[in-house]
Amino acid sequence: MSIKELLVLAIFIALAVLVLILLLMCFRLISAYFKTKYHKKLKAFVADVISEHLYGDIDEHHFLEIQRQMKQLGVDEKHPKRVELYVDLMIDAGGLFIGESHEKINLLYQKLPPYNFSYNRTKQRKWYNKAEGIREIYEMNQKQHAKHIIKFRNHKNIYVRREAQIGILIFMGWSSLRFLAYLKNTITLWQQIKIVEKLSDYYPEVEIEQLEKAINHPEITNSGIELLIRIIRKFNIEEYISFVIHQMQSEVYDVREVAISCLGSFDLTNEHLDQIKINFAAIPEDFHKILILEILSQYDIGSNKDFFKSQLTARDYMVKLTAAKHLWNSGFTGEVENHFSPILKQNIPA
Amino acid sequence: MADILFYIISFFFLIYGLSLLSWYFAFIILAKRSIKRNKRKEQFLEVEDISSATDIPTVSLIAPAFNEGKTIVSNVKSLLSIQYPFYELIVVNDGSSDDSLEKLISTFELESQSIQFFTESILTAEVRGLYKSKNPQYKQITVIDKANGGRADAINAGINFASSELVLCTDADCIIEQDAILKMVRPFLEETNREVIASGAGIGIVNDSEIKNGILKQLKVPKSYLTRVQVVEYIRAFLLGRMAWSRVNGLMLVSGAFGMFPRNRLVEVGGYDNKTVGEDFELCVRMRKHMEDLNLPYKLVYIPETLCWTESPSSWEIFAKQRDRWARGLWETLFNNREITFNSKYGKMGRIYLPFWWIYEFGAPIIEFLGLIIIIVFSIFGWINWEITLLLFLFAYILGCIFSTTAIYMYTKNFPHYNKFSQVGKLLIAAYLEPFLFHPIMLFAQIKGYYKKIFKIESGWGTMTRKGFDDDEDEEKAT
Repeated sequence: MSIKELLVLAIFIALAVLVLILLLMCFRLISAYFKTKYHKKLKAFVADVISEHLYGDIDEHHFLEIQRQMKQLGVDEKHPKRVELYVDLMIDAGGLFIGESHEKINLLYQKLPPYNFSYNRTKQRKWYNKAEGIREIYEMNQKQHAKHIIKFRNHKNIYVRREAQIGILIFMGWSSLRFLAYLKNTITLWQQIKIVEKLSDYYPEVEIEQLEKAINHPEITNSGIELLIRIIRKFNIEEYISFVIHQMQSEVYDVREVAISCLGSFDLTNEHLDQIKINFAAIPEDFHKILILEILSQYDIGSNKDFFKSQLTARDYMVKLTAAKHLWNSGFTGEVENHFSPILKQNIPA
Repeated sequence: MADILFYIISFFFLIYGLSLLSWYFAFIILAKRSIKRNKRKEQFLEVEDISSATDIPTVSLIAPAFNEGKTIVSNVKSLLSIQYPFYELIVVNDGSSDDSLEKLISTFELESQSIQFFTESILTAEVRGLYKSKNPQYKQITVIDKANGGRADAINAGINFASSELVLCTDADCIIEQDAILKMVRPFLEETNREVIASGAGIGIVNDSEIKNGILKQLKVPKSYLTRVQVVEYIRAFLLGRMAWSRVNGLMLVSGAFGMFPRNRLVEVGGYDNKTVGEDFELCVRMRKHMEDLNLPYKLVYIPETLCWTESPSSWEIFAKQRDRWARGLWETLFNNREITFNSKYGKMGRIYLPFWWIYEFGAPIIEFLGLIIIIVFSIFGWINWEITLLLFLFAYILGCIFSTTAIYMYTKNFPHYNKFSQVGKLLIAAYLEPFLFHPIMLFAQIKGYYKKIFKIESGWGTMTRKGFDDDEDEEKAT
């Protein structure tokens, strides 16, 4: 084959590929149009079902009628994608309500098919089906599957185990801390925040004995401690501020960091401030020291003046300057000048 | 002898072209996987879950402004409308000679603050004043008035005053999606094994689109050919290039118009370098180098979604100036960090990523320019087989079309913008015409930028005039 023939062949192949991509794009645009149309239709159906259930006069016959309409819309076992979409819409709609209405919607979830759809999804091989199934179980309050999802809490896939952890929390409340604080894998910051938020949304009343049990458990993990610190902060549990201050000395960087960053949101007493000042010297990172100085600066600098003054001789210049800044801005300019003037005189040539 | 020279040169161009092609197709595969993975993960990382959390990191949004009096108020209002529980907006007036500062003071009821003692972590041009609002409605806003020092210097001043854990650098004239900060923060909360040192997201073009109160109401395909090609170019660069590099943690550039960084790391590396015009690329390279020197595992993350919208140059002159500047920025960054290239001490960055930038980003305009010269020389000597040459050009052209079409296809498949036949058609036509006008002018501008560097011709940022999203002004006129 000559170069020319080879090139012509290559051009034809490339053209064929280009046409194929263009056809795919056309198909994609057309199918997106119909999907959007169907999506709107289903959304309107879900809105009608929920509003009738919440505000209408309904009986058993009503549920049969809904099931018939669902079949008409093609929401059945033969069309799993449509069922997925329907479940998602139901969950989204349910999330808009709280209190009595939310309870009523939970009842609706139980009355309508597809029965066991979410449970069956958790048994599929693909991780995202499993994770989605677990999410549906807890979002639709299918308490009968609560035990089933506990076994996924240490699953090798991060998203499966995360959804299981949230599910455990929603079904078990504060007592779930006995699972969550000793998980095998590290809990990411995102997941910690999500757990804390869900706990606060679903169980706003603090159960001290459950927290106490988790804190004192000998097998508590580092990310478990981080999680507990965040819970203490979110619920502003003053009795455990000392626990947070104690964690400033943790050997683990992340634990130290969470403890220090959380201290800023508490209303600290003089005893707490003294404890922090004692722990300060043992903190290895200058960055953390600066953070602590920023926290202490929110309190009366006058009563902590000696501590700030002692930091003017710190090894790190940013720690030194941060201490100087707070002293200066609180009116202790003389202290800063007295400290820095001899140094400046030494360094400025005559 | 002439024959040998001919074959050597032809072989060199062939190898270069084929290797570039291979990279491009590798990008498509990597980007496709990356987008798919991202989409699946996103289902379980909904920003609503943490939008009301008290535990999320604080963010400072730093927006430098220079002579943007015409649009500054609506732009700042747009930036203030972003949803994030803990963020402060720092607008840095970089020595504007127009009425930007006065407009900000009167609209947002700003009052001067005494700076007293201030620890300036990064040295900048003189800060003349600091303003905060009396009105609780605008409590997030801080305005820094400083002497002119350029964009990098202005951002550095913002970093100095930022009191947050994360810093989002943007431009005052960018339109940012409402939930953009929540999405940008997500990678920082997600990673456990490596420290995320930067996150970036897609940037889109909004020329000729409908904007109301600083919010993008309806995205339209720009009317002019120039801006339309830039839409395709942005889609290709962000969706394919950056997504692919992000997949292998090889991202070397987070766009200056929209990038988030941990403040402490920014301070450690001394912030942006105000001596280069490619400060965003330079910063990323320096941050990576810093982490390699510290021997700490790190990651740069890219979010495929378009979270920031901006206006692109709509005149050829401004476009050429922009590309000239980008070329100089690339030159400066690569030469300033040349010790990293092929240095195994810097791991893959030294062995693969930076060499790629040298060979294919920096080298491409040079190779292309040389190619043109060689075609002229060879045709004078009658060494060119025109039939084969034209077939080769046609082949290369179709491959370019495949690449652009794939990028547009992937974009329409994964994102809701440009989902009408007419919009896609316009973008495809622009993409197919790109090599005939857009590309030669871009090449000319790049070579001009290199020429300035070779002959040490001083040239700064140049003026980037924008039309502005003046919907408010239009309204005022109408009333």
